[in-house]
Amino acid sequence: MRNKNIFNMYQRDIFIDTLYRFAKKDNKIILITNDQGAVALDNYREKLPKQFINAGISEQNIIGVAAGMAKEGYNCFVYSIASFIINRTIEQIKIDLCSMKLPVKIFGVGCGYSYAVDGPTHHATEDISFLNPIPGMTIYSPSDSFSVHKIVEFLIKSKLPTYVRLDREICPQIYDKHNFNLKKGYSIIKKGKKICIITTGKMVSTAKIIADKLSNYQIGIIDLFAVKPLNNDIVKDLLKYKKIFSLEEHNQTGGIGSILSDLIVEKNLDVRLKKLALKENLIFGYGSRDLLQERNSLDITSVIKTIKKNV
Amino acid sequence: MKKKIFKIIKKSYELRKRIIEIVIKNGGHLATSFSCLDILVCLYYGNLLKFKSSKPNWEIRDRLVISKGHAETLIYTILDDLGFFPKSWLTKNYRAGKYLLGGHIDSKVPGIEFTTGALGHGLSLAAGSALGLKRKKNNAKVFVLLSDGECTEGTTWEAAIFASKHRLNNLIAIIDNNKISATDFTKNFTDIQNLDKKFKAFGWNVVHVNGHNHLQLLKILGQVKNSLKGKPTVIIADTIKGKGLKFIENDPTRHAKGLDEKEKIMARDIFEIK
Repeated sequence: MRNKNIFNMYQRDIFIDTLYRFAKKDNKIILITNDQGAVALDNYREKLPKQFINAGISEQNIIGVAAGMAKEGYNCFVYSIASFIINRTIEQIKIDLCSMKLPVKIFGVGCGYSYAVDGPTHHATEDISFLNPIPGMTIYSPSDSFSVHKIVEFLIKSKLPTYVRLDREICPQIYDKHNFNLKKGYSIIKKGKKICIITTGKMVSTAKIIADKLSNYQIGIIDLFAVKPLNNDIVKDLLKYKKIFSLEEHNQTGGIGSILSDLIVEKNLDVRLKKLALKENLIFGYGSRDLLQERNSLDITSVIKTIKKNV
Repeated sequence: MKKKIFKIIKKSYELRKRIIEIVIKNGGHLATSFSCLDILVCLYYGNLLKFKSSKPNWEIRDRLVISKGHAETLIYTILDDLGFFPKSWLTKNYRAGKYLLGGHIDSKVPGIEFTTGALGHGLSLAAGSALGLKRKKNNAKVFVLLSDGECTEGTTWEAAIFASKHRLNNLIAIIDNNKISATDFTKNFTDIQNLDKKFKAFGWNVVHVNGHNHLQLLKILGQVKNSLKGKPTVIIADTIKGKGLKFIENDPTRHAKGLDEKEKIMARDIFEIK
């Protein structure tokens, strides 16, 4: 990482830097983009031109090409704006990758509202709901740069098609090498009593602020970073609470709230869930990230209000 | 050469007959299979495609990507004939029994490179394979069979740009140009003409062939396989959907339709099936 603070980097830069470290020793690692930029990409492209493909704006072709290369033994990592590489390629992901178990790893930057003012074309507010039903897909939603670093290290050897949703902004540090357990798939950020917020991505840091402001409520926080497959061990942690709030910058349909809701129904758990997510009639819009969150009552003040009203 | 041609023409007839038997029993994509049958017979039986049925993943095999996954009746019949899988798969388990062989091709079947059936995927997959092979310095060729109907998929042209830019001279696309899509003659809805000019404009070598003339097919396929220069090649093979069974030939209603009872008797008579 050479003098870089891996705890305080853009998720896209730590992804590419970590990948670069492995790629320079393994020429089967290929990075494919759809004409997407990043600071760390300049270094990768310059030093490893033969392991970098700018395939142009052609997302469906990129997934097919990556699948073809994967079949020939290449370890392909695809990097794009999340909404483009997911929304446009569901059929390629289902058939070319998952049905044939071809291990292409997709990194999409700009999850949720991170492309705020750029609008609905750039917002990745349904990516989890699109991919979660596809058998054989793996989904990570990391909350900081250190966890991205560990996920990339893990994915170098993984044989599974995977999507990693990256935030566009620098996310406050959540983990260090002592407290991040990738295999567990979720992480207890804070223990609480009765009330728990289960969240993902950058919202983990928002949840920390909320729990601090409501310290007398003794709110627990769980970071669900491995969205699929879900580690069912989480059941025993859910049962420690009476009321759970899922918090995510994702459509209220099909995100982690829906995934937890399915789990609660399937396992017949005695726990109440309230979903805090983007509302269908409010999702499309332009604005600062703060404004867009406010409209959907996902800003800190609104979430605090909702929690107070619902416990 | 005469002996080889005779052998291949005989094989084409035998496979058509076998397909009729199978379709009468279990159904299948008959018309499209007959459209590209002669092309695939030349590849598989004309010493053009390098393969080993006992070793489907042989590293130096030529890759044959079937983008038109609905040609499964034909492909499975050929793979059966060549011994890629046990005989019972086709006789008992094609569109029946355990459904080991289904209604579109699946990569779990030995001899099938990629699962297809959704159109417009094959050229991208083939381009990725071709690029991977080139980088591995593996001299195998990648053939990809496309339908003319799927040339209206945008992905076909995304892949065409990619293959040209990466100078994939180990990639040979063959278009089964029967001019009929799922429901109608293509001229009546997309009217995608001049495929040759289009591919040329995208930087490809373009060759024309009569897709039912075995002599021409063997000559052209052999030439392009051995003399590829700097560019991907597309062979536009003019074909007739349903070729070989007169009463379904060039009939746009025949894409998914099977044979009715009267037609089954007629087909049996024509191919002398007892």
